[in-house]
Amino acid sequence: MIRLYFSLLLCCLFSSSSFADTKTYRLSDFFEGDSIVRLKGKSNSIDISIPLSSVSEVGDGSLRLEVVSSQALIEKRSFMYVRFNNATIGQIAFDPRRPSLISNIEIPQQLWRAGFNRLTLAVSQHYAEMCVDGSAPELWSEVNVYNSTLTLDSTVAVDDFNLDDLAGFFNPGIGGQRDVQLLTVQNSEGSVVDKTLPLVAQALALRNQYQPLSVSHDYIPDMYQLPEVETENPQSFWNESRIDRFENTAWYLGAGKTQQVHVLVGTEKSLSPLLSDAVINEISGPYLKAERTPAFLAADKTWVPASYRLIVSGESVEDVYTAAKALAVMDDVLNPVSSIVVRSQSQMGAEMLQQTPVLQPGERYSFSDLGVGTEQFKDEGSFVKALTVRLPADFYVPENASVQFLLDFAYGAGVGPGSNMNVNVNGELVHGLYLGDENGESFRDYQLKIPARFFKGGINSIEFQPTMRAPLAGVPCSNVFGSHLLFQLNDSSSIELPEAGHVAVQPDLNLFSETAYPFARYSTAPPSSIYISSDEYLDSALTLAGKLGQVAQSPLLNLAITRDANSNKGSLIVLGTPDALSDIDQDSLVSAVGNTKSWPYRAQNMLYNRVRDIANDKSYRKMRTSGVTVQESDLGEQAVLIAERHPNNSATDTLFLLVAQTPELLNSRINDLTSLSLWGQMAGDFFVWDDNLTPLLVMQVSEKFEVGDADNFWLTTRLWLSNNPWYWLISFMLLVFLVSLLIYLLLRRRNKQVQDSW
Amino acid sequence: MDNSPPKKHYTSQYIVVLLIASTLLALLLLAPMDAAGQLISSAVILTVIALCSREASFTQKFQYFFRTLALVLAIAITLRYLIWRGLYTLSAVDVFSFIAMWLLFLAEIYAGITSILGCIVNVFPLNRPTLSLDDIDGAAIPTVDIMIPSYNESEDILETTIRAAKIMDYPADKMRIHLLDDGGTDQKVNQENKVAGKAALARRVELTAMCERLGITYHTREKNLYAKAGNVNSAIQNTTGELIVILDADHVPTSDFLSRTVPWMVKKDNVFLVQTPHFMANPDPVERNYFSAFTRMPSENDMFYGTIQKGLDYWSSSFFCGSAALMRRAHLDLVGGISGDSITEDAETALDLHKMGYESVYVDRPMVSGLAPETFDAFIQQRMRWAQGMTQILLLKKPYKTEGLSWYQRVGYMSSIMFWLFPFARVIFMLMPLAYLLFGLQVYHASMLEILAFTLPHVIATYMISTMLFGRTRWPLVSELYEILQCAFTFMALIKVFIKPRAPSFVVTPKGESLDKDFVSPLSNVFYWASALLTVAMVAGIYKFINQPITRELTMVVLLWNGFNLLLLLSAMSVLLERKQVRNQSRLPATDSVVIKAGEGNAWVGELIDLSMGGAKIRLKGDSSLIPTNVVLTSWAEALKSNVDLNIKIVEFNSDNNMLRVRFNPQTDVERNQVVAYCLCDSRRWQSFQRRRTRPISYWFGMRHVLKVGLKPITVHGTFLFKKLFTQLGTYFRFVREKE
Repeated sequence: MIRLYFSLLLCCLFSSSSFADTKTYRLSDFFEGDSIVRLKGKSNSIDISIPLSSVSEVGDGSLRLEVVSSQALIEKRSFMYVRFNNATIGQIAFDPRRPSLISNIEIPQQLWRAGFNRLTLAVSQHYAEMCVDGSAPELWSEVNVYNSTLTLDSTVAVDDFNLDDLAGFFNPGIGGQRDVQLLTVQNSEGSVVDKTLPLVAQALALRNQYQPLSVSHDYIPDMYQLPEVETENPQSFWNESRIDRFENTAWYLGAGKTQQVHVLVGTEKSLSPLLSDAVINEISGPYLKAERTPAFLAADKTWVPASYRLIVSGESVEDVYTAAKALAVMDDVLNPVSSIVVRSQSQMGAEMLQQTPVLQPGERYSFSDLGVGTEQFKDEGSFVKALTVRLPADFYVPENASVQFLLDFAYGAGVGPGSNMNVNVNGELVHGLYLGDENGESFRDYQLKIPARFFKGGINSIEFQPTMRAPLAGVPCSNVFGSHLLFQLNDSSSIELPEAGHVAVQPDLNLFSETAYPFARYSTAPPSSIYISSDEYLDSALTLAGKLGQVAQSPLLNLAITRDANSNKGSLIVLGTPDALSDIDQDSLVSAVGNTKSWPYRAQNMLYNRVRDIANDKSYRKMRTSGVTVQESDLGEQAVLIAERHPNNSATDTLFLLVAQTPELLNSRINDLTSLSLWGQMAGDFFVWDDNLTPLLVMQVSEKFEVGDADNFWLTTRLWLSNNPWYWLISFMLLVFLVSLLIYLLLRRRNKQVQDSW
Repeated sequence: MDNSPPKKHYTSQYIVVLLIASTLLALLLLAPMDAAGQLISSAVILTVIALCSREASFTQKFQYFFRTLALVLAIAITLRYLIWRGLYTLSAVDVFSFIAMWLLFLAEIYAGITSILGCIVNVFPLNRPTLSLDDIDGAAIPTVDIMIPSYNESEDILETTIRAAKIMDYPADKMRIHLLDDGGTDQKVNQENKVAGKAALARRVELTAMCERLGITYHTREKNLYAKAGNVNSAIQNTTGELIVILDADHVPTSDFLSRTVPWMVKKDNVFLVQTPHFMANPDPVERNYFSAFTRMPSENDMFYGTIQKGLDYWSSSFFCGSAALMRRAHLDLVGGISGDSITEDAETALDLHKMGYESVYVDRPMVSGLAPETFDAFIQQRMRWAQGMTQILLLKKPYKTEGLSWYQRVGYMSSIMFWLFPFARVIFMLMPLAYLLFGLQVYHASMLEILAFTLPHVIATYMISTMLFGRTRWPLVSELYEILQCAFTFMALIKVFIKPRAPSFVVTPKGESLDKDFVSPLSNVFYWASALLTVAMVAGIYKFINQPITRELTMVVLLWNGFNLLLLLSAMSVLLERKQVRNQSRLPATDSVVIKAGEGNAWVGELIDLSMGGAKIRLKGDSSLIPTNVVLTSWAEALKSNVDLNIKIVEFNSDNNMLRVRFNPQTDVERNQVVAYCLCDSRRWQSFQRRRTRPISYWFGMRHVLKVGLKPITVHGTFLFKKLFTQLGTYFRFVREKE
């Protein structure tokens, strides 16, 4: 008995002990923008936000900065201050004799906090002891954020694994999980694999926000096999107690990543061999359970390590699906428990969920509604208040529609010449305001109408860029410091969207990458599928499903995996190898990637490597891109993604072909594709890549077509007529001709009557 | 006997199909479309309009079909523009922008409606045949009273008119001439101002004597009630002629006036009016000061009398224009004579009789030559009266819902009346760019592509149609120029009418004024201010264009708009520069063959170059160096159907080109009559002159000419202003020196 307790104690100790994981990150991973950041002027700074998962415990951390400074800077008065969460952790003195330097700075452990950590690189730069012109061009230094790194030891520190810890495991910050294993039993009911697994993949990927999540799938063996022990008498080693303890471990994982969460998906019945009696007894409906599986230790050896396990289960297949839905929508923080049983759910339609993260056309939202708080900027300099609004992917408005802002903002007294506020929408300057009143001004409901054409379906970035300059002193070598300068943008400001229909132009991989359109739509959620010919492609399909959920920012309940090669259910992604794609009818496609390739070489087409910006192109010009070369060849290391009008379905569907030479290569390329660096580069309708850095080729090879529903007769008509102005023109000319002819006949008749009366 | 079944007309069926097709067309015009698609469509439609306009300009079988097609296309494109404006562009960010935006839209609606009404009115101008008294039995020829109302015109002017009236080709026993003098009424004679009273009495005595000398009847009355209408009505009570001709004091009739108008009265009993064009024998201030091309380009009223009245005639709504018209007494009696509710009694009378079902006729032959106002001041006074009078008719008579008028007559009247509301729109079109350039108001919410797709085609179509309809009788941009000149003054006048519809009183247009020196019109100040304002707006716009790249597209459009307005305004400056009038009577081109006879049997043959009541210019053939000073000019006078021998005095002889300038020197009454008959009573002369200047020109040629002429006077104005300033300074210094 004592021995048993001792073993259990050891098991617990081992299970809670953690293994530190040292990783090095480039600072550019946390910084959106150029890899070189130049800091100009007398004083300047940049902030870099470094997210940290809540389940991570940070150990040693260090920063390696690669800095170049101007040789004009003088010693003693030129420094770079490195601050972490506002605490100065390092000071780098600029030396004109040594303009390039590399500095290593330790980050104290206690400064880290879960969530976002702010790394500030601030400079103070002088070229003389006195009379320094703050705008002098020689005042500069630069940080190479690509070469600069952050090295960090982190461990997972979770003792009691509850459902609320999921947000920590699946988190975009440091320590967050970047891959996950989903497990089902062999011979699971079809819908569990094809319908529920994609949803689970999405549910977890959604927690990762923008960080990719590679999803793999395995079948749980029907029966466990006891590990072979090198003892004289194995039978005595595997006594009943040990077998019981072994059964309770995650024996099916093999040598997996034990600090990561894996997921068991299946009905109570199918998973019962893996679950404890207590858990089985709890399952009385759609069921979610977070639990820690114990390690199996014996003979001074860890046979099976402890692990974190998420169970998605239920009494029936439908229950399992419902549980997955609950997992997809739930706020983890509300579940500080290990398990829940879902009794009912409302407002869970696929359309409803897809509309949730999107601003509704025709509505007004205050900034606080959008989660944007009041922002105050102080001191001299240029500042940015960014606002991201997500519009329906198929946002379609008349050309003269406007997005209206009612801004509440103010600036304080004492601004100098050159102070202004610019407003950018998606990188285009749309408004400028000179802040010229030295007594300051306060604006309420400052109306700003921006043509809706500046906005696009999907994510739109709006930037308010106040620049504040101190007044001129008017005396040489005497500066007015700008510490009194103040600009405030209130959260009571609002944005009002025009009424819009729901139409998108296809094929468009750019729109696909930003919004998951056409799998995520706004007004409707027609069934759509990912086709795989065998389980070899299941990992790829699940990873892709997770990514689509991520970019749609909502679970796509309408997305399922299909094994039917000729599925006519909505838009379709076909995953496979050239061999596997022989089942797909590609005769009507411009590009084909079966055993015989049909390549639209650039020299055969008008566009070469240019990609039309479909979202902004209203010309509907027809492109001549029909030149192809049909050849027999392999794909080599590369993968190809082609989007075209679905040859079998109605005009509202798009077919995506995602092909690599082997299933393994395909999985690897899909992981490349879903990476942060490559996913955003998708464009056109013909996309080829062989790593996660840059695409090999991006082209637009097939004709565009409109998908969707303008939602009302007016917009539908507008859409149709805009696409087919000749119909309008011909009808117009015919009617005018008829009207003119009749009027002419009547006029001639009257003329005759008048003449007859003479 | 023709037993074949009567030819079946399908008018009702046509109308039903037309209504259905029009409804479908209206739905199509409502149909929304993005700007790119609309741009393509508009380009095609404009091309078709251009082709149809071209086909419509030739006399051919389908000329009127192409004309109709072009008009329907233009109306459709205008309606599409207005629908687009109303549905998509009316959004404002503040109350000032809201007001400005709606004012602009209302002005555009006004312009659109006026344009559409104009298209309807002018779709099928009626060309009537030439009739003559020769075809009418002598007994059936009605008696005519020729009435010449006068208020303050000089005796010379009146005498010329009366002499011409007496020459008219009409049975003498059926024609009586009456001078209706409102300047010598009892009220005038007995007024408190003794000097003015004496002058009125003297006028009455002189005119009575003149009437006795010329053998016509002098009428005056007790009080000057209801101005010209009252004057005519008073005379009507004292006369008995079946028909009444009204001639303004300066309106000299040609000899064939009655023989070409009376037959229309004889033909149909229900004709109450036969109106003829007013041919102006002298240029108005715009023609004289601005274009200096009176003989080469169409006069302002050529458009009205040469095109619009013919269009109105087709729709049975040509109206009385106050003079040069024949009216039926019986019909006038039904409405109590000439109406007097408004100060445009002429149009009002026609309206009253049209609604009773009587018909009007327009004879498009210039048979009356009159005098246009000489000064800009007088010109504005005349136009203000017309604008106020037509607005009074709109407010008091409401022709859009008057019972008895058919729909097309309502359209005709509304077209004529609506035109006079142009000052509201013109002022808005002129000031609206300022709202954006100076005050930053957003008055036009559209992208550049939309402006290209909707606005520009509408503007181009309007100009194309205008050129098609009025190309012969109105050069491009001339209408805009006239409107700009009048709008500031008529705007205020119209406001007064809208406030008090019955308040305006009849003001006689001063005519026959002589300008003995160049001067700047006293009405110029408003144009200086407006020019300065638009110039400031141009500067502000250029600054905006440079410094505000976000709105550069819109700024460019508004700058062009403002630049156009400024150009017109600066062009208008030349009109305000009143030029010296070289002669009392304006000379018009003539081509008659003449023989100059001297004593001793010497004679020279030549051709007239120009002619007026004062004299003529003649190109002689052969050696003419020995021509004496006092000679006799012999030529054929169509009005008298005989040769006339007129005493003339040689004023100047240019031996280089054999050009002779002569002055008429009539010695007797008969000779005076001959001079009048020879110079003013031949309608063929007016017709030929009118045809000469109403030639079709290309749009670009006309526009280039107008702009070229328009820009010249800017420096002249500056010179005048500086001269004035120096004169005033000189006076001031002289005064100071004298004081010292």
